[in-house]
Amino acid sequence: MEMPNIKLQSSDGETFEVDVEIAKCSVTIKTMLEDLGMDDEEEEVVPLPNVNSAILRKVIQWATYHKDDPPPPEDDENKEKRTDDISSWDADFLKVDQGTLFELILAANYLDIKGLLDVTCKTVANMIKGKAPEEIRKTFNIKNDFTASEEEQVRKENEWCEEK
Amino acid sequence: MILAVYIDLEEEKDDEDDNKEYSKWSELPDLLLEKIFSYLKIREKYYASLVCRNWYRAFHLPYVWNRFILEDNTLTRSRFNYYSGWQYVLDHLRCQMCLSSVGKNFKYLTIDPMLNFYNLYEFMNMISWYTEQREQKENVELGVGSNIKYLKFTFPCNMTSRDDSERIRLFGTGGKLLAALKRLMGNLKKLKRLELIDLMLDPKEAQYLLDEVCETCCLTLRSLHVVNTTRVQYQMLHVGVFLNLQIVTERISTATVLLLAYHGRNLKWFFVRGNSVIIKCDWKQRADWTDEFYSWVKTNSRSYTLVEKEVSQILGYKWRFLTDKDFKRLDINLHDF
Repeated sequence: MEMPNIKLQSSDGETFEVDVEIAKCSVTIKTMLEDLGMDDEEEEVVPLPNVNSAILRKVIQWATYHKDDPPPPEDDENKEKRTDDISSWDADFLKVDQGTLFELILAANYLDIKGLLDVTCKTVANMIKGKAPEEIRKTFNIKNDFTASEEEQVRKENEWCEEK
Repeated sequence: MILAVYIDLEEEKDDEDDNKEYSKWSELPDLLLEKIFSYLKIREKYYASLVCRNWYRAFHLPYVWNRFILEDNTLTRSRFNYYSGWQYVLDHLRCQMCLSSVGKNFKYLTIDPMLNFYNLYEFMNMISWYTEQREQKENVELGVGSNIKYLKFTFPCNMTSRDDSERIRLFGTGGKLLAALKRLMGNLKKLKRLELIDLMLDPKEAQYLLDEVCETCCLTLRSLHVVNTTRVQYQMLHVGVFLNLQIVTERISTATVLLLAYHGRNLKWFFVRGNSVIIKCDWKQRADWTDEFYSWVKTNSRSYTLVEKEVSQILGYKWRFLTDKDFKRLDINLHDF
């Protein structure tokens, strides 16, 4: 039996036809479908005004690959926060330019897809690890907006974090 | 371990700076920044906080400090001594700064098996000291440790002696360290989940292990996970005191399973891994047990099926041992309550 499909519309107007079960890995879409009581017969389109087509395509690709994953645990806060457990498929999937990674994080957050949010945030954390502040700024192209005296002050304030 | 020293090279501020195009990474919403920061170690959080104003602000978001893990070299400074070489000694100033600036955000405190008992002892006492402070004190940040809901304490009972790596010497905690742990547990008023692993206590000390927790958390504690609390079999009766306790895990004999169920009738969840239970009645009759009660324990500890039947009856729902497969999935189930 074929699974029912739904249509997702990106911010720039492109429509994607997706298996309902795959689309439902997004809690946002799942809630929308439930709240709106959309049934399969109506050819309704779910508008996603915060996600452009390039990013939506990536998100669908990720969700399709992970469609059979077990649901993430509700509260895994007591678990150790690891960043070295990214699967090789995800690692390859996230070999993208920084702009795309940035948009993917925002999309994962907006669509409420925990698995994708976890893995994208871990990837960013890994890009921060082991770097000095100036290197981090270079990596992410962030402007140093501290004044010299502010910078001195914040460095002193949390100096206790520095290993001795 | 000193990996790198951060030297800030005072860069010449170019005038071009203003015209340069920057990314939006500095403007990530707090929810995402705090999630990313939560994956970083203490020093990495610090370096990230020096990147820009918004990231500096993110450093102080509560979720960033949700979890705190104490290891041998956490908040230490290295010191040389002649009998054991370089050692990492808890740096009280660093520890104090840490606790007073972010300590009130700790929710999940994990104490890993540590070889440096001094650090362990001092750290536990520092948190206790902060939580014991009351309003009248000035210059003390109140609320440190007051949000800890989860404590996992693992004692390194399994140490290999240096001269003979084949022989593994087992020893447990006790004395002052135990006193510090009990003081800490007694101070955590919001404790929901407690895991005590490999304490290997003397029965005499084990008897009083949970006294403080009973007193402060008899209503809040929901999950108790104890492994190898004592060196020899010992009955743990405290379980029945926690009114809202729902989960207990331990490695035990069939007779003990019966006794636990008997004393913990309120248990909504009682998980026992089948393979970690030995068919054995390892209890001698105690003075306060009737002959009838003892023969109930003896008879029913003879097989897994009998135990399952009796425990189901006590708890009032169908109860069975977990298979290894169930047990591995347990962590997910634990959150369903």
